[in-house]
Amino acid sequence: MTKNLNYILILLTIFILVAIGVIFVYGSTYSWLQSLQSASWRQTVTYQNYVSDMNVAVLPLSVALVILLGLCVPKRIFSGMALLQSMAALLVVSIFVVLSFGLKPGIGFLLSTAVLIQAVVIGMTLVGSKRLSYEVNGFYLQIGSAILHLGLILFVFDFVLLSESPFHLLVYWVSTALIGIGMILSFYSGEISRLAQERGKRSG
Amino acid sequence: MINNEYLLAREFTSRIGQPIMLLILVLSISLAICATLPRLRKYSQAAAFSLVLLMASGWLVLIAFHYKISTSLVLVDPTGQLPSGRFMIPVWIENEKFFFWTLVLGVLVLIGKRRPVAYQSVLTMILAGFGILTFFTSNPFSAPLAQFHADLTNYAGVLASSPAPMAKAQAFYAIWGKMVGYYNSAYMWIHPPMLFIAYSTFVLAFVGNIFMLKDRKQDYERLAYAWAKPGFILLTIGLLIGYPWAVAAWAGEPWWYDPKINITLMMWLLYSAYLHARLYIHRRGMWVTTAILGYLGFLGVVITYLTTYVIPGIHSVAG
Repeated sequence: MTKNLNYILILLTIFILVAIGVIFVYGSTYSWLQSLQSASWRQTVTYQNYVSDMNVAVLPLSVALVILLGLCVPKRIFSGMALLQSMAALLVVSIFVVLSFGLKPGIGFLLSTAVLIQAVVIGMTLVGSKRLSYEVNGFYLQIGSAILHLGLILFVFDFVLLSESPFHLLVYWVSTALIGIGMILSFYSGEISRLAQERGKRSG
Repeated sequence: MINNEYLLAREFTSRIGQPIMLLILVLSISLAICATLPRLRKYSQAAAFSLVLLMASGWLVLIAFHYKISTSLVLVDPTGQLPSGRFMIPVWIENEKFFFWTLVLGVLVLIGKRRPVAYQSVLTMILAGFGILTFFTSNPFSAPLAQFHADLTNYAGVLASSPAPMAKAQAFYAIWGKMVGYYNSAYMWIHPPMLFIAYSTFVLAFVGNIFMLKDRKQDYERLAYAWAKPGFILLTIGLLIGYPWAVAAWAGEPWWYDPKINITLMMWLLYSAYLHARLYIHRRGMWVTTAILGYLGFLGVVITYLTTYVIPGIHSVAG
């Protein structure tokens, strides 16, 4: 069941990524048409309306992507019914926070929880816990994937909650570093693993 | 401001570069012929090597010109408030962009080991196409750094013709701002080359995706993935590096949902979707989906590049 759930989550992620891409194509085409009519259209109300319309179109999909990102995190720790229950609980509490305090705190709650769970996942991966479930095998691939996802969650968290904060850029660079390290570790896990083994053999 | 040393260096660069470009065109056409005709295919590696060597020498000429700019031109504040400055211009701006992309692609086409013959032939044909396009659309030697030169000439014109100190100061601050915030910025030295190297690896991934769907072989899928990986890392980090620069450089200007930024993000989203789809490539329909996402991602690369020249915006030269 977990395997199918992962597959569905991946399909949904692909669908949302492509859908946001299509909206961006629409936005660029619209900008192009506007600039053909008036070179200074970015100084007009039409531009303000364009930005608002793009926000309206992109926001639901971005929120859906954030929810998927948040829901993807517990799947490392839980499986079967426990996974579904934890996902449902996370979603219900997030919706409750959205309804009570607004969209930003709701998304913030979901992301904060995801950051915490992801930090636990990284800790468990580092100590070699057998309880974790990954679609992929290998220590470097797993830790890379975990760090990459932590970086992505932190990145979104930074833009949702810290965009006006003095820590915005600091957190931005931390998330950039995590994303970069995570990608290198997960994309080149085989090579890194081989290097580590060779080093281990040489030293011991 | 504009001295003879600079003008001579510019003229020399153009004079020595034109024959190099002509040879690049001839070699590119030869490469295309070698890659197309099976009888001549054995010469294509040598032709590709010669093309890359020639492009590398052309690039060295450009580096020498940029170095000359940094040593010969000094920007002095007519009001005396700012220290004098020198231009440190990266070798991948204006018409040098596509030249640089072709050069990197050429190196990547050469360094591969034991690739399938058909795959390598298509790659060399694409490289030949890039060489021909460089000659006709992005010759960096026909008018070296034309925009930079125009900025410089305008500034020198104001200094020479306007007696008003205010006009001189205004012209100085305009070119000073461009020097510090654009030409000399660390961002310009890091962001564009990362993206052009990424674009080059995406060319190799794209050809892998073509064969992946045509021949349905796992080897081609692996080849495509092997090249999409470094491209995606460089693209992601390159884009992330761009954000803090954009916030500072475009402060107060409307850049949210700019066409070039939209299209670049679209390209990134499509490659992310491609990498996600790959995780379940053996599921029903996912082989084709992955290949198509690879195609679309590369289409995104092409559109991203063209957007700069076609759609006006804060990140474009069009309009």
